[in-house]
Amino acid sequence: MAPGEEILFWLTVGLYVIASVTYFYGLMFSKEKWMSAATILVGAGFAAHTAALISRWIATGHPPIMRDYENANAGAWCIMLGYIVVLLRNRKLAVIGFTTVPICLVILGYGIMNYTPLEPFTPPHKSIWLVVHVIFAWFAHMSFVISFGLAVAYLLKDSKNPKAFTQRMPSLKVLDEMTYRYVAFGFIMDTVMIISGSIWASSLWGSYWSWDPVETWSLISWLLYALYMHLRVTMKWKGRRAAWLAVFALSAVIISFWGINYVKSSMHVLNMI
Amino acid sequence: MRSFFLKFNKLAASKELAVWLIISVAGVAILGNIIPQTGAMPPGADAVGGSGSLFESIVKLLKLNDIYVSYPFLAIIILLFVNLSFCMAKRLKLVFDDTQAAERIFSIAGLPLIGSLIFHVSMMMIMVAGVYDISSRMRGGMVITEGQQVQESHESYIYVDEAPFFLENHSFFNIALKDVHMNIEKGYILDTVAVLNISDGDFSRDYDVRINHPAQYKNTMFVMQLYGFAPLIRMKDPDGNQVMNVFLNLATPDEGDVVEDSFKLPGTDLEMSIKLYPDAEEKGGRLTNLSSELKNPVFVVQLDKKIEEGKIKQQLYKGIMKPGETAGFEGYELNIGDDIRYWFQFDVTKEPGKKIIYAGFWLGLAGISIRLFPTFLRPIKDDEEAEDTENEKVV
Repeated sequence: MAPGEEILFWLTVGLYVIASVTYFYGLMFSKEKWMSAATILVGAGFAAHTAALISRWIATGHPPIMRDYENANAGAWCIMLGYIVVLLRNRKLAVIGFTTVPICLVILGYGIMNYTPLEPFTPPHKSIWLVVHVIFAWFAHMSFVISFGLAVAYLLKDSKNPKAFTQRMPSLKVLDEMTYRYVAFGFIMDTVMIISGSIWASSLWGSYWSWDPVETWSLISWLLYALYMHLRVTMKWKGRRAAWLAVFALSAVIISFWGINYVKSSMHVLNMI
Repeated sequence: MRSFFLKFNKLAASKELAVWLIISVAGVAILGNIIPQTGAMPPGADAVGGSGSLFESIVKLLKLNDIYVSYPFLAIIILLFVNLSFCMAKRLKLVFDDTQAAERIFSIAGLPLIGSLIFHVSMMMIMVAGVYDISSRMRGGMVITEGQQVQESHESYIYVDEAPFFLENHSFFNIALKDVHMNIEKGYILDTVAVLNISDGDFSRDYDVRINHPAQYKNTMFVMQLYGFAPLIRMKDPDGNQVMNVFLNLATPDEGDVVEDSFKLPGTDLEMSIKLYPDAEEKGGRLTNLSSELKNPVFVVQLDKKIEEGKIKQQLYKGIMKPGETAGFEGYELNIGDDIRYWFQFDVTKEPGKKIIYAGFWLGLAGISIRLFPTFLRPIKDDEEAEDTENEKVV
């Protein structure tokens, strides 16, 4: 690892773990101070996370977009950035930290389990389209993870016997609208991700679309979010149905980002030349 | 008859049909990940085996083992195209039938409709171009050794996959691998450049082909895929006849950058095994390889004579050779030339619909951005009874 990266990485993980537990406790037992403490912990964890990424970037000489560890690390950072932006805009939305922070921890865990040493860009990675592809993938995944958190929050608040902590959440209307907006933003980011990936694939593998498992699952997740948009805009799906669909659609994102590589071999694992 | 058309129009333009078609496309994509696909296997391989089971019969009948070019998938795409066309026509009709709506279309309030129409047009472009591309494209693999020239024709490919309407539409220009540059630092290959010369009548141009940087000429794209070493091997039999004098394309280097290959010598009953260490170092009588750079190439050569088909072999020679050295055994004379060249395998593709598909992609992105732009501008009202502002107000 790069100098200081290991300490910073584990510090990040530690702070996010404590923040997750604190969020959970604060929500379950309606402890406002615990919620505030969790937010501070997230801020500290994010600072350590940022420093770890910068340290690696300096050591490798390229943005952290190569292979699983760097992608997971930077992807989780992007999700946390999105979460902090949401928090700054509406403090009541701190509750979605109880889904967002643990998801980031899982992503970081996946990254460290697939750690790759410091190495320069290999020829397949030397493409501006790859940089565009990966950055937009992070933004898309960030939006979808946050929309997932908002949708879960909606479903908890709208349940028959809502817990006390749900009273501090924004109204159902706001949660529903925010979920839609994050899905919409993520959908645009996802579209750019697929387009730039296709252009990169064309110059790397000679074909803009090869029905590679990762490509196919990216298309499936895009179709699921397209379905969400269609149902929402033209068929007025709102509330619980829309929230459930936002929750379900994230499964395709998880499969394309992580799951499919365990089941099928993909050209996205770049070990050529 | 009129009622039939009205019913057809209602069905073709229905939002519910769009939902089911989107789900169907996703379903086909999932099926393609579950059922082994012929397109993902080596040429000639059978994706679903040869058990003759009912499952296999169904899969083959519906072409589900090549699902993305199957008739059911094509039918879904055609239905989606029809659905999109009718939906667009219906919405445009509503706009033109309502003067106020027609005026509003050129205001901020009209952006969702304009964006939505652009998005739907882009999807239709992608579908048409995709079907055209799948039915008329070609993909093949071409191996060229440094200094060699081949022609862009069916015979030059080590494998070729031509769509039904490609109709042998080869270009017959010449391709030569003029030169190769490898930039290796600290054991990592930082850059590989193959200089391809393409000549066609009076036209002649050199192209630097790299990973991520293909050459393109006449809608034909040359993408770098694999490389290997091609040493010059000469051999004479006991009668002094030259039985071999070729640049031999060895297999691609393995993880440790060592090359191992074996082959039968044509016209003889001899089998040759070669192990090439591109950057060899000898330590304690053992050879190790330091890098993939061709710094100190050393060959371990073994020649066996076949006595019985597939079983007993008699070892005639085994030894270490350097470029320029000659070895003799049982009257044979084996020479490895000083000149070690590279060979490259290029994936050669012709995708006639690609440009339209890219145009569709960008148009789609523009459409969806225009469609959703007003959504992000709208303030969020924290009021349970607030009026829904999302649905398009133009129509």
